[in-house]
Amino acid sequence: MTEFGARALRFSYGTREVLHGIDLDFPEGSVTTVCGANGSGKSTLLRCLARQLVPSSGGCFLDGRDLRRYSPRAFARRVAYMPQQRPLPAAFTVREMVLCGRYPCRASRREDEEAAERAMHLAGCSGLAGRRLTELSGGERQRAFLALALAQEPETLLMDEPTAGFDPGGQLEFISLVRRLNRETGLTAVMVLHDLNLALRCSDRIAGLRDGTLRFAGPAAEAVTPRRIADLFGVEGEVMRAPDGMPFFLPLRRSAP
Amino acid sequence: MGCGRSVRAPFFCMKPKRRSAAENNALRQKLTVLLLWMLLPGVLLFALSCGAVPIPLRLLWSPDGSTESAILHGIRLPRVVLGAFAGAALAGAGTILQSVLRNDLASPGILGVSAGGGAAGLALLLLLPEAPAWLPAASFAGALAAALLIYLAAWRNGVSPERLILAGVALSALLSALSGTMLILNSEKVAGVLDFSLGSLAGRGWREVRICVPYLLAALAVTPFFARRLDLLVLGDESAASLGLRVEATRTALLALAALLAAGAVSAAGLLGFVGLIAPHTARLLTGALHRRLIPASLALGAMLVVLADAFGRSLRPPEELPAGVALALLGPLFFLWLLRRRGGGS
Repeated sequence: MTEFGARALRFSYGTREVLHGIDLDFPEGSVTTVCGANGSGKSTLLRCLARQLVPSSGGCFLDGRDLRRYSPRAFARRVAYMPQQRPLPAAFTVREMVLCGRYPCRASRREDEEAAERAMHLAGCSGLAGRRLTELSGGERQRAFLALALAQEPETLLMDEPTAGFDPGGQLEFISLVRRLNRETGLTAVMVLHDLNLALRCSDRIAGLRDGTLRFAGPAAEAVTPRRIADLFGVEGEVMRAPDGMPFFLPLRRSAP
Repeated sequence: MGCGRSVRAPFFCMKPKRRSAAENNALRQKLTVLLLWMLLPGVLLFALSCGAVPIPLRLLWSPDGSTESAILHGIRLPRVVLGAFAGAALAGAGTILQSVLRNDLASPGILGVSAGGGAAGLALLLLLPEAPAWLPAASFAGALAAALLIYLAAWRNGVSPERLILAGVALSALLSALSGTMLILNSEKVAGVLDFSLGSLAGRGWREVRICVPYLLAALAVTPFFARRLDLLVLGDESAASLGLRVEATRTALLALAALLAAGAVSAAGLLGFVGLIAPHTARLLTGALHRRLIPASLALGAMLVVLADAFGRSLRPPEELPAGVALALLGPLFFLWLLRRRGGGS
């Protein structure tokens, strides 16, 4: 049983502390979404979990060991990370880029190529393999980046706003792809999303962050009470039910600070 | 409790595609690399036969003590060897820099190696005109010193590509201004200096080969081992780090390697421009962006370009010579533009 999460995690940019002691676990095989307003520290939390930032105290742990005590490659074989923004490697075709995802794995050229094909198939971008990244739409690009992460064959996938800039159809398509990977391969997924309704639809668990502290962590169904949402987002509104019984939140007015 | 069950996106139904097209493509790129390396000896031999005096190439393996044989072995051979190494080194440095800095316009000049090596070489030629034998060493030291200065100037908790490029442009301007000042104040001695600052192999012999080639060979031999790490750096710092790369250490090592290659080339052939920009791009158009094919293709192209430019400069109007740097800047852009129009646009 893999244990992955943060313990008493604090992080500062210079003298400004943005995470004030976070305790959070990500159960194996679950989909967790970190929610919160802009500037609440959710991306910073994800980057600490991805070993991109060094906590000022406390830390993130994988199987009881601090992430810093893993070698970069050993960690990359277990946890993959999709940053929100990255330069576009214009000269690469999708297949060439996905092959780069095999760097942490010690395998033969043949195995690498097979794993890359598998990853592209899982991410639904086999048909794009020979295309250059500059020729792709936003949704196609994100599937290529997903394939890059899957080529690492990780247990856990961290995604920072994976659907930013997508239309509703594209968002739903990408999110259900993640959900499907989670069900079929047991992939543990941790996402940062600011769209609460999207998070409710696709997550097992929701973690709510406000001003660098964890306000809530638990099953998605329990996350949606008007009080909690007002606390997290500073918005008052109505919790309603979709025809399929799923809750969703309709924002109505800004609540008093 | 996701919605995935009810939403069935069409791409889920896709079967893995047949790989024949991809394999053909990879095979074609591999063959291109092989072809370039098979072409290289031919180009070197052709360059040996070019010059003021026609010389039969059989003298190469059966020297007969004649004047032709002496010219071939004593003058042309070291020149071609040195040109090939300088060209390969500049192409290697350009390939590394374009990927590390993620900038298509990056070339060895961006590290200040041209300006630094130029200023140091000029200072030596003007201050100690009786010691031109020290030119390779002086320009090498100047080039490395400039690269180090730029690296330190760009450092703040690590070196970002953007800061490095800006620091490089600024310091290069300063060093070029110093060179210009030295030239103006010593305008009567300019003639001897011109060859160096335009990039030329004129007068280079076995002595320069013995000085420059050993460490150029060492640096060139190391370069292909960085292929995968260069691939990752192209993806961006965060992606590279999340794939298990020690980004800062790797970047520093690669910048040092590029500086070494470029400084070696400057000390061998003066300020040869353009190869370091054009050879990597040409290679990328021919073999794709993965560095395990890009690097060997780029090295071979750089070597051929410089050797051919030098041969062209020698044969244009003998006994006068056009410096290799000038010949290169005359022919290179046309070839590159032709290639860009023919292969550009991606697919």
